Amino acid sequence: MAVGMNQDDRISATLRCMADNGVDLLIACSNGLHMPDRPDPVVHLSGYRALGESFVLLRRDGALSLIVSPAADAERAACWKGPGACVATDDLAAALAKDSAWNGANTGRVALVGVDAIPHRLAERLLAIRKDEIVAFDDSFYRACGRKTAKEIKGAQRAGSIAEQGFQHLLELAGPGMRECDLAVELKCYMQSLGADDNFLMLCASPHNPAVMPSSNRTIERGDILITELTPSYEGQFVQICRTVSIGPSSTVLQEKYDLVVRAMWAGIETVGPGIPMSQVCAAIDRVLEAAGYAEYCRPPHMRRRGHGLGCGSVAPGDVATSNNTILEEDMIFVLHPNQYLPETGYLMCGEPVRVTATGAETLSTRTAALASID
Amino acid sequence: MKMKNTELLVGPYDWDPALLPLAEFEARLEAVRRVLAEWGVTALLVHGHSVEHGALAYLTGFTPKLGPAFALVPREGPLRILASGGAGMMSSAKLLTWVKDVRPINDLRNSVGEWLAEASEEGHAALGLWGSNVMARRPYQAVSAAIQPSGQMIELDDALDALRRRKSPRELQLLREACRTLAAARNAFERALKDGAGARSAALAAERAAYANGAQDVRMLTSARDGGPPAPFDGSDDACVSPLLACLAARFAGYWAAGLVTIAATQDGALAHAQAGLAAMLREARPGVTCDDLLRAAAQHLTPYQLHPWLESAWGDGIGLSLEEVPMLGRDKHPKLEEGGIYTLRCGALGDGSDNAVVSAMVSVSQTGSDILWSGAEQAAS
Repeated sequence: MAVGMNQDDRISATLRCMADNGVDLLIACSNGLHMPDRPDPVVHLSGYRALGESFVLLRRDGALSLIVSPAADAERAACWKGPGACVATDDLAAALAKDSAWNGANTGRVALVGVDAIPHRLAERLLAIRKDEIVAFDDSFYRACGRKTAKEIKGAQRAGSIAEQGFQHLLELAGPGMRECDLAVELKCYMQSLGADDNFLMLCASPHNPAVMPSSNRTIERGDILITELTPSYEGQFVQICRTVSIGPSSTVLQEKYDLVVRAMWAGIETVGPGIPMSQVCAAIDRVLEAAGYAEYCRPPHMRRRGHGLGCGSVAPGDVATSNNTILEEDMIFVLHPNQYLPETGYLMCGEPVRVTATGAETLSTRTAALASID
Repeated sequence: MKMKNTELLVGPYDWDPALLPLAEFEARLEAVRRVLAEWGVTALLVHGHSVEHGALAYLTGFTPKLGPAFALVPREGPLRILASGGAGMMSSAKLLTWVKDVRPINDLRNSVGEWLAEASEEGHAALGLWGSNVMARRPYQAVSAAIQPSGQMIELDDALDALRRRKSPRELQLLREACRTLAAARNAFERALKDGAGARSAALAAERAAYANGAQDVRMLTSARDGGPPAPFDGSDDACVSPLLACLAARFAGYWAAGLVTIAATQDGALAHAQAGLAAMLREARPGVTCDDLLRAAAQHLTPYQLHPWLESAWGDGIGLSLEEVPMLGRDKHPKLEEGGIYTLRCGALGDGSDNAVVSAMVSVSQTGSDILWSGAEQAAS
């Protein structure tokens, strides 16, 4: 059941964080790319997904304004149901200089979030407008409020359902003789027909995959292992599932190794709960694989992370990695995927989107990962 | 036209020498190196990311799917591509290009620094940048840090973008194919709407039709209300809208075709004026014609309607490996159409309430006039 906070709660938490850090004006910057595992502070604060770069200005007294590009998006911008004004423009820096929130806080301390992701010339213009110190505020900003809103949780649940239906469609459709890219296109269109507004969809097949990759023109063959991550977005909220399919009957060794990564995944999911550091979740996954003799494959270059937060607003709680000590909170959402290269089988994918609940975790998928095969 | 990007490109992107032979890239590389010599730069770094990578695709055919990518181009010798993703992912990245040396970026500063040390024997490098206008601040700082100990950066966007303005016969052929996929998309879109589909379902029908015709990527914006401006789909609404103003784009072998259409119950009102304005622009289109000439020709047919505000910032531009290429008509200063250039020309009329329309055409400008490659003012084929 969706619980969650609302957008006002999120802004209040951000304002408290600004006050604690003596920040008078926060400028959140978006590059407009809206990727599933990259944070977008403008979407986080406003829910608005601009076509181009955009800014949110949040003043310490709570005044908020949204500046989006391009100017051609003016009618959609005018319909934005946020707490402040929204302007659509082709010259963001000029619009920023005219903004009342900017001018009202002209003598205070300014903090920036997301500036490193916007085009460097725009960033330079932004930084040049103000001669005094501007502080980078990304870490504090996302720490202040990493929980999803009720709307985002609902979107995640719907996206999870779309991802599962997408995978079912893959099982009905995929087979030898089909190009990876044609299968990926069909899955993308199918999930769009179910309501997805975008999809980060990786899919590749080979007898021994070194990693998951974007689909190529290669033709799928019998004996391949097809691996995929389906990442549909519903109303801007991404969710991901990771799956593995044997093209033709699966070998005993493949089944054994897949069972191993599934066990590792459940060890991670069972560790999830409020107050638990993310590093412990990753360590629980690693322990299962290390005990099976794969310790060296739990470290770079074979392994970087075992999951990640899901945007396109905040991607808290961040990567499922032993170096991430973020404390999990109720209503955080992330994908937990052991996704492991093993020398006997190549790269195997299994992963579920999870929501942190008051007592542990719930998966946003109903049929969790199991090795599938297509004859 | 700014359109919602596709998060991860899934269409057929592997380099196909039958469509774009190596000789085409060799000629481009030679032209680029002539510019490098004129500017006295030691080497060139070409940047692109998953949304805008026209310069990178022009030189290498490479389409970055996961994040930024860079081509490192010495004055002589082989090129190197640094791509986003881990070492295990490079086997699929290598399929996208004729360049043999494709590596993961790893640490951008170190990777660029090491390559520059190999490329500049004297230890002092003047590094040209291409595609830097869309480079995010973080990689820009990394590149700056790599070059600044002993060298300097020279932004060559204007000098090198000029090479992309005049399309080769091969490029024109691929742009015609892109227009064919766009026409298939438009036909499916209009057919679905006439069959009673909502805007979202019709857009999906158009997308499927474009992919079935070989498209690599398809993007669409449509009215969210009767006669509203083209906009991205924000929710799951699938409303029937009329008139419906739409912006469609389809990409074939790296090359974009894009256009505006208005699907209305009748061909009069704003749509008739927009079509007449566009027809006037097309009659004027030839080498040397200025942006003001074109706008003046269209304006005579718009009265009593106003120019649609959706087009105010750019009512035409170059198109090719990027959706928006120079010149931006209405935004750049005193641009002229050039022989060999491919352009989109747009016209739109704004009336009362929902009586609004936008239309466009793609043209190839030849020595004496222009050839229409696609037009949104024509009725869709049945």
